[in-house]
Amino acid sequence: MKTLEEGMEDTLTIQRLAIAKELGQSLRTSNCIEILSSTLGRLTRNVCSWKNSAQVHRWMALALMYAEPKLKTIPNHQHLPKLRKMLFKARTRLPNPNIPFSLQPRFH
Amino acid sequence: MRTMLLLICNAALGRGDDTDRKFLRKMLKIDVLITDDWATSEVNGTLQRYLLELFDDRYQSRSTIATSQVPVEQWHDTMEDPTLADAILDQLVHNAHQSHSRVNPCAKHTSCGASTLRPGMTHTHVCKGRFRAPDARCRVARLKPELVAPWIGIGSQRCCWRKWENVVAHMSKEDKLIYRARLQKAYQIPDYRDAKAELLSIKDDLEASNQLKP
Repeated sequence: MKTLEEGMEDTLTIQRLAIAKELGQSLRTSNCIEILSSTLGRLTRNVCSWKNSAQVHRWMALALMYAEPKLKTIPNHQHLPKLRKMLFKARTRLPNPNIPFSLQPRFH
Repeated sequence: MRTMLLLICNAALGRGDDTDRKFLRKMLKIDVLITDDWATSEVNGTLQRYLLELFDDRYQSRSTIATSQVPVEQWHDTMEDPTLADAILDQLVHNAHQSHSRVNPCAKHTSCGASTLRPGMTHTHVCKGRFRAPDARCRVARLKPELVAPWIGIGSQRCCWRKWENVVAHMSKEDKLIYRARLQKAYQIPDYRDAKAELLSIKDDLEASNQLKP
């Protein structure tokens, strides 16, 4: 019961953004992220030591370039602009003039 | 899991030998780095460069907790080089959970959104009131695994499929079939309110069935 309560709002994000009909089939689960992360894990598993962040970036960039041609487009991908629009709408905030630029909240 | 209460001081850095690199490498391995008393004194250029290196490598991979009596808006002013200050605060403040309190912050850490903190995220805590000196009890409270675990562990499940599988994992075979079907149906409802109402009704049913069991 606690498991169900925990993060209930997070699991209903698709419904809250009103894109369940169009993109619910592929975005309801985290499978599309899991596939990419497992591919990256498989491609970088032989690296024994990570020296610095630049090395990690290089490896990730190469692994992503290798994985890119094998990725499939999700069903109803033509509705993705709607997802972007809804996300932007949900996270838009006006900048606070009293806070320095580096401390302004940023939404990617 | 390794945790450490870190007191960054000028003496520990800026010697330009292997000690600096070793020190930084040691800091990078720490899962949850707690930095206390942020922005209470001037930070010079050398230390700023080390801080930038440290936070740059820890960004999105290890968690950092920063506590201070000074408001976050004033942290920028305590640093010597404004360009480096921008870069450091960019790594530290963005994508961070912030909580403000007027009481002893150690008691507040458990309730200030800690459960939603993910690995690699930053947690900044600003105490505007009188900051009580970290006594032994506070140190223990900060390092307790059950308090730190939500910050570094896997948070709440966001994948619907894994969520309902987690919910039915410990049920009997008959219950599994019933509740799995109900949860699947609830998550397939396109309307937010209807889906939430259905999930809450499932929760109530689970609560009632748990009470009936001896």
